[in-house]
Order: sequence, then C-alpha cells, then structure tokens
Amino acid sequence: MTPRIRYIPWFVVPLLLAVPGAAWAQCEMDLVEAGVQAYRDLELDAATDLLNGAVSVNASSPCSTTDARALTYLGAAHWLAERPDAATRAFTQAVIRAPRFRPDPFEFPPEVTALFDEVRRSTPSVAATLPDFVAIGPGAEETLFIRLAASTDHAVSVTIREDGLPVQTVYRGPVVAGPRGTLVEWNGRGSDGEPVSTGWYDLEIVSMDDQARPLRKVVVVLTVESDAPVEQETVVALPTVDSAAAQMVVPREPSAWKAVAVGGAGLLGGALVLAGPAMLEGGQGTWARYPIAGSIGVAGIIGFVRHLRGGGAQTAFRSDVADAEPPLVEAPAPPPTLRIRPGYQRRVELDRRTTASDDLRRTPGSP
Amino acid sequence: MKRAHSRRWRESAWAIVAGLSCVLAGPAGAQSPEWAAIGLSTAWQDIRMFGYGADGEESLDGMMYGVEARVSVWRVRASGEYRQGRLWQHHLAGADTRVISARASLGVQLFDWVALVGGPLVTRVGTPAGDRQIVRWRVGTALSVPLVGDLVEGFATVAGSVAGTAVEGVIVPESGGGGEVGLVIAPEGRPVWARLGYRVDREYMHVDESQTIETAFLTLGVSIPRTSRARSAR
Repeated sequence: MTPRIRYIPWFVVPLLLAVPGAAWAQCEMDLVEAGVQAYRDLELDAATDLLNGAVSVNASSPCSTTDARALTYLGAAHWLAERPDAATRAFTQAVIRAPRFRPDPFEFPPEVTALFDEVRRSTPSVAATLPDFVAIGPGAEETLFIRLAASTDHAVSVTIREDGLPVQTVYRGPVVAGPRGTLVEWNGRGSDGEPVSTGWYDLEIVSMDDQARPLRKVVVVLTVESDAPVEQETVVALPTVDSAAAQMVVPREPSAWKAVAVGGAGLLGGALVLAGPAMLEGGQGTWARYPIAGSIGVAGIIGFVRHLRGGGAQTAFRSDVADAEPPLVEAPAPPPTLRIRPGYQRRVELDRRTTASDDLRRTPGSP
Repeated sequence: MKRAHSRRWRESAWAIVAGLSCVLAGPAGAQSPEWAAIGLSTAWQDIRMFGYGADGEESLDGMMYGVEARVSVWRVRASGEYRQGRLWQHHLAGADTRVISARASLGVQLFDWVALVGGPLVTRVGTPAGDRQIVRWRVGTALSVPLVGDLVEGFATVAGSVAGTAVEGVIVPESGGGGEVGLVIAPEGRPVWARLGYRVDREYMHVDESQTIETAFLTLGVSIPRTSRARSAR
C-alpha cells in the first residue's frame, strides 16, 4: 500500500517554527523560577541545569546572570548534591554581584547559610549607589554623594579617572558591611582644586585585600557637563585701612646729633626742674621735684646712648597711608556649575588570569 | 570813634582767621595716633602766697587727687584736668584747707613736636576769710621730644597769662606765667600710659601780692587708639 502525502497548508509552517521559539521564550522568563521550584522539589540535577542556564544567559536577557538569588539557589543545589567547590564558586559570584544580599534562613538549611556567610566574609566586594543626576556649583549641591555597600569590612580606593589617568582620589580607607554602608563624596574638582571640564569620567572603586592588593573593581561612567558661570556685575571690595597697619617700623641708624639733641633735652629738662624754682621769688622748691628731675635726666641719658649706638627699630606713624584711598580689589569670578550624570556600571575582576567582566545594567537603586 | 573801633575788630577777626588758616594748613603727619585718653592723677602741690594774710606770707602743701582727660580730633586736641585735696597750712596753727585746681586747654598741633595751646587755669583755696578763687587765661607753646624711642617722650610747656575780666568773687591776676616739664611713658601696642611732670605757676595779683604754685604730678591712664576707617562699595 502506497503512503499518501497529505497537503500541509502554508500557514501551519510559521506555527511549527514558532514552537521552539516559544520554548526559548519560556527560558527567558521562567528559568530562575523553574530552577527554584526544582530545588524545592529536591530535583537537584534539574535545578542545577536550569539555574546554570539562567546564569549563563547574557545580560540583555530577562534571565539575567545578575540575579544573586539564582546564584544562591544554584550554590545550595550544588551543596546538597555534595559538590562544595561548585557551591563556593556560585556563592562567590552571588556576593560579588550583590554584596549586601543574604540568603533566607528559612529557605536554606543552616549549613548552606553558614557556607554563604563564610564566602561573604572572604570575598571583599562593594556596590555603589549614586543619584541619577546632581548639579554642583553656586546655588546648587556642593558634592556628589556615593554610598558604598560592602560584603565585608575591607579597604577600598575611590578614584576619578579620565582616559585612564587619575584626576582626583576621592577616598582611600575602610568600608563597613553594615546596612548603612559608607558615604563618600566628590566635589567635582580635580587634584589641582579646579572644577573638572566637560567630558566622560570613570568613578573607579577598587576593593583590596588585607595586603592592600587590588581584587576587583566597580567602574561607573560619569557624564560631566560644565556650565559657564552666570555673568554678573563685578563686585568691588575695598579693604579696610587699619591705623596700626599705617605704622611702619624703621631701623634706627646711629646719629651723633640726635644723641646730643635728645641727651641735651633730657638734661636741660631735669635742670629746669631742679633750678627753676630758685629763679622765682621766694622759690625754694618743693622736694617732690627731685625724683621728677632725676627721671627726666635719666631718660635723656638713655636716649643719648641709644641714638649714639643705633640699632633696634622705631615706629613712625604714616598718616598719609591712613588717609590714602585703599587700592581696589576685584572679587574672584564664581566657579562654573557641573552637571553630573552617573551612567553605565561594570565590574572587573583583577586577580585572575583571564579577566571576567560581568556587565550590569545601570542600577541607581540598591543592588 | 565807633567806626574805628568796629574796623579794628574786623581787622582783628581777619587776622585771627588768617592765622588759624596758616596753622591748620600746616604739614600732615601731625595727627595723633590716639583718639581719647583718661587717667587718674595724684600730685603734691605747694602753694605760697606773698603779701597775703596777717604775716604777709602763707604756704600750703599736701596731696591732691583728680582726673585728666583729653580728646584729639584731626590736629586739634582738647584736654582738661581736675584735682582737689586738703593742704596743710603752715602759718595757721593746725589747720588744713580744701584746695581745688582745674585747668582746660585747647591745642592745635602744628608739627609732631610743637603745638599751640591755650585755656583757663583756676585755683580755689579755702581761707578764714572765705574761698579765694583765682582765674587766669594762659596761651603758650607745648613741645614734645621722643627721648627713649616710642616708649618715653619728654614734654615742656611755656605759657603766659593774658588779660581777663574780673567778676565778683574771682581774682584775675594782672600778669603771670608758668611752665611744665615732664615725661610721658606709653608702651607700644598697649593702651596704657603714665605722665610724670613738674609745673610751676607764678601770678601777680597786684604790686604787693603774688602767688606761686608748684605741682609735682603723676597720672596713670588708658587711651583709645584711633580706629580704622572702613569703606565699602559694591
């Protein structure tokens, strides 16, 4: 008997081609949940395959490898399947990508959470949270605040770079693993103290181990636009004139004639005090004039010696300076306004032979 | 006669104005660094009156206490002093009497070292016949010389009495004069100062009566320096 070939309508062909595509779309949306369900059903091999599949899909897919939850379940499945090394690797990836993530203690056995905690403490990693936009300048914010969330207490360095070259070291020191993290700030200026110019900059956060060796880094691209300062009337400030500043100290040069004049004035004054009353009618003079005459004479002698020897300094009052108009000082121009937009973030491992980069989508919120 | 008298007054007035213009238009640099000063003063005063009293002579001496003050604006300085005390009378048995001495002066600083000064000098002495008040108007020259850098400055004043108008109860001497010599000690940068000096005044009330007053004084005070003048503009 000859088989009969039946005619297949043309519109069925696209439907047949769509079946595999439909299966593929299910992976994009439900791989993680399917893997979680398989784990709960203790179908460890199925859970491992599904979650591995979810982890290996690239970042543009909804089944993104950025899901630390998927990695945690994957690690738990490996651990239950008695594959501790694979579990450690999965937990390490989870900590790197989400430093503040913690497994649910009601979902996982204590041994799994203990292993996850041990991996977290030995894997320094940090995530950065920045605002979507900030303006720095007159009448605006003063700094760009960066909140660092760490997996464990460790040292970091935060640097602003342009074309790979350092522009400003924002922070170098410890970060803590607490819920509030560590807050650092950048004032939009370079190491020379001047506002940076328009361009793209990298905010680089490097995590270091106990020996200050860099382990991994997070790089956030910053788009900076520098607005020219608003034109305003020049403010002219006149400094005050201090009468004390109007005095000048001049050195005393030795002068014989000044010495004679001063000495003579002092001795003459003393002599007048002593002898003056005697020149008056009935003037025998009061006794109180003797110390005064002596004081004037001694002052004259001291002045004679000082002028004869020179040296030291004396103050002259410059009334011409006190009365003169002070110079005009032009007020400095205001700084420009910087408009900073944090953008694309990426993570880079620094301690491996092959650089494994995991591109993250822009995550301005908490990781 | 009336017209000649008024013309002389006008000429005198113009002369005074011209003289003051020359004085006030003197070189700069004569402005005092201090704005005001005040101090407490103590003095030993010796008063001898001749041709007065039953014995034809009277002498009193003793301590007096008072205040001194001065204010400087531009190159014009106004000063005043007041002292009082109970002086011991030597020719009256066991009696002391209250004496008041006051002086006011207005000076114009011509240069850093010379000024023209003038003003009244009043002495009031208690006597058995009542208070004896003598007022004389003095005009003179004050000199100052730095002796020990900016720390010690010597000063001397010579003044003569000008004619005044007698009023009831006030004696105006026919002639007289006096002088003063002393030191001003003012540490640099400190608002404190000390003035040590000796003054003698001689007055002739009329041919047979005269009076000599010697005063040795010490004044300690504080001064207010001239402040800066701040100017601002936008």
